[in-house]
Amino acid sequence: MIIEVISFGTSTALFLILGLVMLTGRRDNLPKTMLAIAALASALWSGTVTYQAAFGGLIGSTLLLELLRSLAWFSFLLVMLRTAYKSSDQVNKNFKITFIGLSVFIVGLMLLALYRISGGSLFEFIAGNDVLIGHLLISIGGLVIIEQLYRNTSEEHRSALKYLWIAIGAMFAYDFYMYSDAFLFQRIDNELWNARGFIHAMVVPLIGVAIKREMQWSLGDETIDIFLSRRIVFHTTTLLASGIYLVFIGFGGYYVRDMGGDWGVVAQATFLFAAALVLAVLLFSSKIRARMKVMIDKHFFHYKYDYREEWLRIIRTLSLQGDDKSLHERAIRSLAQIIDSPGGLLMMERDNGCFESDERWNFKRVNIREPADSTLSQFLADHQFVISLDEYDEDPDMYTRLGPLEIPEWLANIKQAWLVVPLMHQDHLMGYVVLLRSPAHEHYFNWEDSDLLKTAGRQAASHLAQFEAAKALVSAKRFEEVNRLSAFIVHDIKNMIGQLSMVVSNAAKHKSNPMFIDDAIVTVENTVNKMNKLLVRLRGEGEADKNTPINLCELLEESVKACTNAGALPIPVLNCRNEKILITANKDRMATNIAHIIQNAQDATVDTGSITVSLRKQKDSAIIEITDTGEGMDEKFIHDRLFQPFESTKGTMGIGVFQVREYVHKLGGQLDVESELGVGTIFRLHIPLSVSKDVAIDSQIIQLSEHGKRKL
Amino acid sequence: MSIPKLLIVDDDSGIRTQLKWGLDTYDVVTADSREKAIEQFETHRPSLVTLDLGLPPDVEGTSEGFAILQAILERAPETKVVVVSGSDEIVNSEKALINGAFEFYPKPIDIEHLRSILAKAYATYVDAKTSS
Repeated sequence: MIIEVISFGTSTALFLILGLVMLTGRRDNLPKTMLAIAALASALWSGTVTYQAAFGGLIGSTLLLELLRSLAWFSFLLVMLRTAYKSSDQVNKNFKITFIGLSVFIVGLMLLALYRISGGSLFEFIAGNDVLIGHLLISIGGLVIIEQLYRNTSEEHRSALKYLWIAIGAMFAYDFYMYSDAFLFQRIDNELWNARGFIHAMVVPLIGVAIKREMQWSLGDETIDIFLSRRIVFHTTTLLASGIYLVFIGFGGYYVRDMGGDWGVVAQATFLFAAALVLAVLLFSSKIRARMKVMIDKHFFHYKYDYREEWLRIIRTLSLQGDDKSLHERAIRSLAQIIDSPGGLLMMERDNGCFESDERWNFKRVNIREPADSTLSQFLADHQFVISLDEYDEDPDMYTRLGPLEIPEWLANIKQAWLVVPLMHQDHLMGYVVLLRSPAHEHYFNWEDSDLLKTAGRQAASHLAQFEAAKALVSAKRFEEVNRLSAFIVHDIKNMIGQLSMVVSNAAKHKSNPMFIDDAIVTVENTVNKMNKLLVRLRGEGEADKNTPINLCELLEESVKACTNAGALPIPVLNCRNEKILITANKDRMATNIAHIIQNAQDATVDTGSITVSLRKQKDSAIIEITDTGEGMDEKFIHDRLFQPFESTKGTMGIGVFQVREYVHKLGGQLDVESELGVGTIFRLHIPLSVSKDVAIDSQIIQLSEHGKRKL
Repeated sequence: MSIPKLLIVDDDSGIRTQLKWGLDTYDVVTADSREKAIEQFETHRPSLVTLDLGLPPDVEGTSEGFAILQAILERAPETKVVVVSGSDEIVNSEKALINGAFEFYPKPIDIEHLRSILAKAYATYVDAKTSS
């Protein structure tokens, strides 16, 4: 008895202090007032228990005050939860209903408790299972709300609020533990009861810490930032429902054992196992889960979807790496999962002016073709609407008042077909997805589903368009390679025909000339060699793209010399430093690329300007710099036009710099450009060095001005 | 009347050799690159040139051939250059004519046809010389 008095007396004192402190200062804050009321209710209850322990009596009051204390804490928690929502009639109404429901429940428990009071001891009374279950439900409910508040409090408020949630949560957790024990053993454990006062007293300092940490937190700011995650609400609801189910099953199991006689324990075990099995089946049922989601969305939230989460899921599904499913199948899935559709069919636009069945997911194999000028295709393209076949069946005018629409036979024949989602890419219908019926959603399909599906369809379409473009690019590159090869073949064949026909025509006049005969034999031999080379190239063993180690300094010398001899000004100056720098590349292509940049520099620089070609080694790369003092380029030109094929300021084909960069990239290198208007330009090529050993040579600077510093 | 000088620019030795035999009515000199072509032109100042566009190092392109065309016409605008190319792309023929070539002749070479073009080119060259 002494222990009980000290325990609950401590609790009374601390809660009283807390309550009084909370009543000081501003009182225009509802959460603050509610916390004060809850603290004072706890103090009152603890005080009554203390009095009852010391002097006896007041059993009924103690029981009623405990329930009243619970109601006060629930009210505080609900008020806190309320601050997470923007004020609206619907939200106010929902909270009012919840509060009334809770009050009715607790007042009902109070009346039940009063009814049960029959002069017996306190412990025997609480051991009556009905009120005991009420206490257990209160504890579970409190923990569930605390979990919600704790998990969804934003980071910035969490550091202070977590102490509050831990403190209140600890009270409910201890009560749950104590009442579970009471339920199991059909009596309240004395020690646990006596400790309860200390336990409750212990949480008061934690609440104090929370207030001290951030006095303005939720109490001073009704717009506290608490996000409610639908996923967590879903899991919590499942958890809560499972908890309540298990409590009732445990209760049922107890009576089964009680009434079962010899079969009692066997009947209880069988009953509990069967009940657990039913719970497992229910929890794993996708249909029930889907229905529960819809129920939660409908009754707990303003909007049907947690858009952030939906969007992340769509993107995750579309860009899933390492998935062996095709992008097309993932596109169907990304749309289907929004409304829990079990499957779908993707129709894609083809060059033949039709939409054809392309990919399917949980859908029978079909071969469908829908003309692009059909009313269905036109309707989707023009109005970008998600078509609900149910809505269309019920009220076709809803759609046809916008434009002609007839559901094609193949679609009408798919019994499970439900929605048709357009895939719009830049206002062009590139395909559409037929989704199968979702039992959970079909009676609750509204503008929100439609809008989300439409937008997700756009996202899926842009992924598909990107995929198609990449595929087209690969094909184009292959065609380009074939074109290049065939151009080369045609060029060589023309030369060979020309040579041989000239041998024949020249022979008419010169056949008696031994020198002509010698030349004719050499020409034929030359042709045979060309034919062999051509064959080698056709077999894919050609040397045209064969890379060999190249001494860059020598190659630059040749390129600079060729450009110098061509007569254009200014004459480039070569600066090859001290090393033999080897790269692995195709010599002709490399020389062409260098020559091209030098010619560009010459075109951009006045005759009296300068062009320097320098070479150096940097780590594993050779750096070639072609620097001119020409007119330079602005940033916009470099960014938008310089590397674009078929862009030219010189009336040429404009593929030079583009080709240079492509080739440098092919070698695993980089091409950088630095330029300033009126100052000049530096083209810098970084090319990986050959693996073979480089041999250092003396630095040499080759000034080539003597070759051609003349105006030609 | 002196024999007209003709510069044959082609990187294919077989073509150069057979053109030389086939066009033996001209005083033929040959070149297989831009550098050599300009050198030969400077030395011999031919009135006629047959010019292949695809020369090393840009054998698959046309940059070398067009650079030679420009260099020759800068030095002697009266020169008649017949571009003889394996590339029959219309863009190249247009570009050649815009840049001052007398004629664009696509390969394969029919020596009789080429002879008649060169004869016409030389006649034009002579006319121009006479009138000036």
